Amino acid sequence: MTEDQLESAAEMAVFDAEKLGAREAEAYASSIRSLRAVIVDGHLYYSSIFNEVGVGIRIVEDGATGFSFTNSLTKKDIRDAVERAFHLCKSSKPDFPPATLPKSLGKNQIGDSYDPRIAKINVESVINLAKEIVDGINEVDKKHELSATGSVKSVELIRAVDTSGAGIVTESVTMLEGLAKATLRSDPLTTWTEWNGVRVGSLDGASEGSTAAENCLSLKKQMSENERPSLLVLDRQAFASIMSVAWRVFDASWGDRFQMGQQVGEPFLSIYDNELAPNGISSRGFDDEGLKTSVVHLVQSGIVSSYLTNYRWAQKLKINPTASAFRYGDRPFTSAPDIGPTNISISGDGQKLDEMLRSAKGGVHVVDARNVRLIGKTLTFSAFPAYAISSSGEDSTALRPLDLAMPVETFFRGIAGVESGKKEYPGVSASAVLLKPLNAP
Amino acid sequence: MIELTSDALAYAQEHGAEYVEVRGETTEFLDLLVEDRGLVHSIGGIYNGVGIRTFYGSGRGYSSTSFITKTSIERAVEESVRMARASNFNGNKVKPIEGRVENIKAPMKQDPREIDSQDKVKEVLALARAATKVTSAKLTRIRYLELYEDRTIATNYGLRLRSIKPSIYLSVEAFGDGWEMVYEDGYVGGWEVFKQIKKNLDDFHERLSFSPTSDGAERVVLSPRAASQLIIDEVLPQFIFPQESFRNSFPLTNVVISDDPSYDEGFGYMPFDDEGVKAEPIELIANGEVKQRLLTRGLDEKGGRARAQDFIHEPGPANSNTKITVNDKTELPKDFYYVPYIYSYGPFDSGDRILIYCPLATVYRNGSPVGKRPIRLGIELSRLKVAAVEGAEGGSGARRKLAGGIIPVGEKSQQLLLEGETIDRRPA
Repeated sequence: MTEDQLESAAEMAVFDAEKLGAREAEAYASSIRSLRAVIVDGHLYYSSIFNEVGVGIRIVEDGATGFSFTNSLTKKDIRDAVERAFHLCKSSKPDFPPATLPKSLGKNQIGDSYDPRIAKINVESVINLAKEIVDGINEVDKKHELSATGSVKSVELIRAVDTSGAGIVTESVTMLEGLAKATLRSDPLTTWTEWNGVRVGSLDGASEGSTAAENCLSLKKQMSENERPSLLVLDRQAFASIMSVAWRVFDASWGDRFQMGQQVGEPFLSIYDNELAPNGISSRGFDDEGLKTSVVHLVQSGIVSSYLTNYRWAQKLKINPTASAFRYGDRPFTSAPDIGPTNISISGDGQKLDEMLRSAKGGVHVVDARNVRLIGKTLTFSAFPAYAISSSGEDSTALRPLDLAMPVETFFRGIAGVESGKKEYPGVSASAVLLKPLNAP
Repeated sequence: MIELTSDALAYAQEHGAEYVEVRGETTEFLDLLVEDRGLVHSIGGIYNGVGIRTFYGSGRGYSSTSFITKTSIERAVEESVRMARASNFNGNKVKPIEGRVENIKAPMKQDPREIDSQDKVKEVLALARAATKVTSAKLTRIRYLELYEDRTIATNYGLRLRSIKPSIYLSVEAFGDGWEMVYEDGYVGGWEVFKQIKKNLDDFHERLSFSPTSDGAERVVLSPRAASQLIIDEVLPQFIFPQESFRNSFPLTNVVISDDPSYDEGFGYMPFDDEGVKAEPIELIANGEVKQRLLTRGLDEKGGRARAQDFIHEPGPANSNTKITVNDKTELPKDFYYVPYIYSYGPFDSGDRILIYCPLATVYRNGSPVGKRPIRLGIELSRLKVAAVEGAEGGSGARRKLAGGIIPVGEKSQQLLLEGETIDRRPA
């Protein structure tokens, strides 16, 4: 599917909508190719290659909205989809304030992040790389004769996604993820032990698999119970995992969002969404409504200064749109634009990680956070892997996972230090933070 | 589509595939999002496409396309075969299912596609307003999802299966000051299903329509819905997914859990699974033991629980209509919290602990309701004991994220009295 074909499908949809008498119409066409392989214990557990093409049509009339889509790009099917959208629009009640579509959309824009090489990754290389990493994990299994005392399971996921789109709203996003996950299970533990060996962009085959498995083993040997900590150092990956959920406090459409002007952190705290971050995994030149992207300052000097918003919620709250419209899922053309972050970043007092560890003696160093949830105003997560911080400010004993729950406001207010520098994770560019005090359940 | 399916089967064999499955799908759907002020979002659409799974030696490949042209399907076939060849290192070689022909249409009394969407909006809007009245929520949002799925499976060994399945699903989200309520329900069938869901929702609201109270109680009774949410959604997954669960003993020794895909009104109904295996009930848990796990044919020759959200997903293990039966019976206590639904914060990675929350639990004193209040429960599975209490069993439909995508499942349970849990008395 070429960009010309997509553009032509989108233009056809808008043309049909105009013929029906729609005053405002938008079409979003996309073509996605995704390749995924999951290998468990040396066997292919899940595989998927999909090629998804389609066009979504949004019609706004007298303040009301109708949306429809089709994944068949024939003239008839597009016309039928437009008619459905028009009919649904007529069935809808005018929103308040009346809905309109964004104006001055760009056309034929290609984001800087587009990397056509991704489209050329072939099936064999993905499978081989996945298997290579798993072989590395199995080597460690053999070396330590683990089958006698427990079992090592290995899970591997390699995913490559190439998305291109064209039309009235144009998007082009490229993503390459590599995740190696070693999972250790044995009788003395009642739960999984996991270690992600490879993160975004790092694809070093068997050596990554071995590292993941060795890390897993080392954790299993050392783990001990821990009292509730008063101080946490959240490493980059942990903070990124938490922020990938906690960003919703800045979501204009979320009922429990922070209030504009609210003091939510120390005066040094700054949180922003850099939609144009160089090499940011979610960077884009325009959002899924075609609005130009920029840097959105969410918290400045500890005070909430902006929300992430699409065009509709900007109208509702009478604020400027931040070009944060997202169409989620494997078929983005099937949904109207929602709201989402691109590269959430934090900056603050520019500490170094080792300084933070030294100032958190007796606390806990959290490398990753799992099972992160935000329910109402309560944030919960499992801190894992986590290490007790020794009196010299270094990691000592590995700890069993710590389950923590706190009001989300307490989390942000508790940020007492922020590492300088950052590392990219999907949707989040994270730095380590020092967190205190904690009210664990 | 039929011609393209035959072409795809032949083309895959030409490229060396030993066993080929082609899954075709056309799904019509209507997705309405209604708030108590009116319809705020609506999507109507049709999507169709094919998924091609090929087997070569012990290798397996899956590829799909929604671009229904000969060239596009051929490309998908080629990639599927290449993946099957590249993954020819699996231990287990999948044997073909013997050929058979089935055409099954799930029962439907009234086709919802024949009802005007404006009328549907009015009905859903009335539900949203009723929910707001009962919960005093700041915002109530209802999602109405109507699906008409037409799926086929064909293999080069003569399997020709077709199933047509209409279904309706509703989820109610209510947002209060720092709390949320999520109610979901769904069944296979036509517009009559909406009426059933409406009745269930009215019954549910009856259990919520009390003023706040600061009174408390010592014991906890879970509604069938809350019991399903706790045991089926939070506890069971740790035991029944073969690649993720390794425990053989189940902590609740008096609980029997079974799974029956052939129940044609349940939201998890499937006359055959997405690998073509005929639907059969199985017992998952009994006498404190895991009796069977959920299997696909890639994991076990028999398979039977391979399910996929749609043609872009390779089928993965999933439950269908799952039912809890508790052998020990007890009478309803006089003083207790009645928990109509739960919201789970866990289970946590540390294993056996689950934190659950219900912002709208009803407090009963001397057998009568005195008001509603939020409660949090910290549950240690190893200490938990359950008993079935008087009252009808109840079921509901839900959509759960599993290996093959978002899968519809049916859940059923009795009311359960919990013992051994910890009630967190701090303000929720």
